[in-house]
Amino acid sequence: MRRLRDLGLSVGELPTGPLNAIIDVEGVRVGHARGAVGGITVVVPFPDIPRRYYAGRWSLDGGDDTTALAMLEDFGALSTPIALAPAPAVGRVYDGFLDYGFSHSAGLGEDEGWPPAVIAVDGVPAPAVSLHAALGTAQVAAALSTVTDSGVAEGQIGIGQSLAAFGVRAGIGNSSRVVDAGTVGVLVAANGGEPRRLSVNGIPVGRWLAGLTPLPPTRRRAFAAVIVTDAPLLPGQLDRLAQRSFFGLVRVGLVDELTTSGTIIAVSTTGLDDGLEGLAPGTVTARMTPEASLPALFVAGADACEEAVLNALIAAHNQRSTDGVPGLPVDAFRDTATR
Amino acid sequence: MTRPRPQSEYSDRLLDRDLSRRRFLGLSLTAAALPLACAPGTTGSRSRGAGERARLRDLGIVIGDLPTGPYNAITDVAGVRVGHTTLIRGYGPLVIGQGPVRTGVTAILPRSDPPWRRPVFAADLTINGNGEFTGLGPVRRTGVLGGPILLTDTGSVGRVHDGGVQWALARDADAFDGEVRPDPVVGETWADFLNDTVGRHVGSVEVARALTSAAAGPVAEGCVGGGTGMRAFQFKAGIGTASRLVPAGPDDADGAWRVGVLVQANFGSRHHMIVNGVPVGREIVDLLPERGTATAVPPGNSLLIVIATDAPLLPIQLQRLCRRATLAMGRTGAVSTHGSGDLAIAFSTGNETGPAAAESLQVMHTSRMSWLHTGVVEATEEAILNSLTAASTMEGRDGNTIHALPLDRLTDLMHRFGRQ
Repeated sequence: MRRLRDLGLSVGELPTGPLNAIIDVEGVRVGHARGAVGGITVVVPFPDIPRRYYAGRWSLDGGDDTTALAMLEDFGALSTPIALAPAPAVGRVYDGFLDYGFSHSAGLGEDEGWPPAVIAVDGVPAPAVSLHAALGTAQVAAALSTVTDSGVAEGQIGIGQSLAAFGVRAGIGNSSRVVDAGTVGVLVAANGGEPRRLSVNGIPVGRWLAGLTPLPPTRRRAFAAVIVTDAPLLPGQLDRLAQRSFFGLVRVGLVDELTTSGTIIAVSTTGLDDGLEGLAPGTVTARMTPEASLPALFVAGADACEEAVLNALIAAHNQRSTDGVPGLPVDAFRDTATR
Repeated sequence: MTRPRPQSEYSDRLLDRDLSRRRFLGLSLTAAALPLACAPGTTGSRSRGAGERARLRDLGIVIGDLPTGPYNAITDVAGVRVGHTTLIRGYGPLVIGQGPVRTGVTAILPRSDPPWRRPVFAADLTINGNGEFTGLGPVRRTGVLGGPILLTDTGSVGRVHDGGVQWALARDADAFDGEVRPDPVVGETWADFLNDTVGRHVGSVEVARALTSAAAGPVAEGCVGGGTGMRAFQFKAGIGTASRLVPAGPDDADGAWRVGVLVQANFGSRHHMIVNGVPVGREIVDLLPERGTATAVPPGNSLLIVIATDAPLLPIQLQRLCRRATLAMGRTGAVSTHGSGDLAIAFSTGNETGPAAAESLQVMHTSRMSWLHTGVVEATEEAILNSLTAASTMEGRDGNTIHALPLDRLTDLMHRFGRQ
């Protein structure tokens, strides 16, 4: 019993992919690494060597430190793994990803794994000094060496270590949906959220579930998410997918008025094909999804975001606690959500 | 530093009234201590050693109308400090991890206090996105810059960010227990033609040295700090700076705002190059970069622009200053190519933000921005050109060489085109 659907619960009506995971999108791999404190999580949206893909972004209030922002916003394309890391370690993690880029090319070109996209998840409750010291090149190498498309560990792992939401342990969660236009996979670093706002498929579980204590107000309530789809989307469409998927984080109660910040990057694995020559010299092939098919993708992204957060809570409920935050009382949670 | 006071009546509506501008200029040129400004027609004939470098104004070339601050540098904005660590090591074939090394880091601190303790309002602009500025998320979210600005080469961004974090944590770890983050803004340009990029030679020691040595006053230019290995218009370039004094109001007593610019210039094709309206790049067609033993490497094409002002501007107003810097780029002939990381950041020391922020702020009336716009355009153009006139010929990895802009030929061209 470690995911929402194992409890007989689900979110929305859309079908999930085979693993109900972000790696249901073909070619996507995920890896985690642990430091002495905290950790990092890496999403690699291409199957082998770096290749350019379209990407979009949405952030709450501008988000926390996000590298590769200039290129992401101006070109709408990246060619690098996407890393989630604590804010003080962004530079060290960035440097680790240059090793990865250099291992493919010394050129550090825009289609060769540069610039690294590192999203700061500024919610890990450890001193900046410790987080900075704990994470760097070695953890990047470890995360990259373990990336796999066979399964995604959830809860207190990678950047998810020490993250908490709704007063209980949270961390990494993921989920997927399949619609006509394609598969949407979501990975969330779940953090923040008031217990009373916890909601499952519209049921206000947090209002009825006893024993959840709010996180102390000193705790930063920052989140991050990566959304991947094999639907062919252009950068502007991916901005919209990121923004609409965010609604799922609001619905589940993770994001509210007290949330400090958060960033979502959305990626299409098929929107841009650098390898295919376009019709005219000097062109590439770009693919987009017609407007009429976008709403289904938006629903898929939001539903998967909601379920990913709940998966994080359930996965973490019996995992090791690093700082005394309790786990979700899963039986009471299920009973409340199904009553 | 005292602000020189313009004697004439000033307002935005007078911007195009020549008489007023000249009166302001005339007074400020004497009052504002411009040690480097020379009367037109006198410096062009001055003999100059072959390797001697200069600032643009030493050559009698004056950009625009507004007077400069005392140092004609970003440090003319009170509190702003600049420090460089310059790494020049080795000659010959590239050995990754060893060199030759032609890079460094330039640190800009907005105030005399640690930036996380006394942050500034800030905004940024991506002119062309093929580059990196870390730390933009917090700048955009809060409109506040709370870390140092660090300029370096492309490979060193992660290590320089790390160095900035280490420096902050080592000095003031207690400051980061709550909401505050070090969030250094690290910008880069591509020095690979001369430098061992993959070796990533700028680390925490170099960053700490640049930050610790950051000082007010004159700013070293050319092949220094983050600009060490850079080039512009296929001449050697690097760091350049300039400043302008801008009338603060209609009355003399209103004084002048200061706006200072520092650039790390690594952009432009020769034939595009324009100096003060003269198509220098079409006249000086030799002295192109020379390849040694290396195979082709892609050109460096980036411009980082840092704008400082003591005018009390809000982030949205600072964004307007960033946009004006693009006009200066255009005046030098740049087109902001696809491969370019042309990124600007502007900050204002004119108000307190963060914990010390007042409930109500005195901010510039939006309709009074035009003089600042003029100041930014002039100072950015001059800073770019200073990065060229100050930089010397440099040989780097694999014997690759980038030549300095020949100053005697530059001044001859200015005469020939009647600009001096």
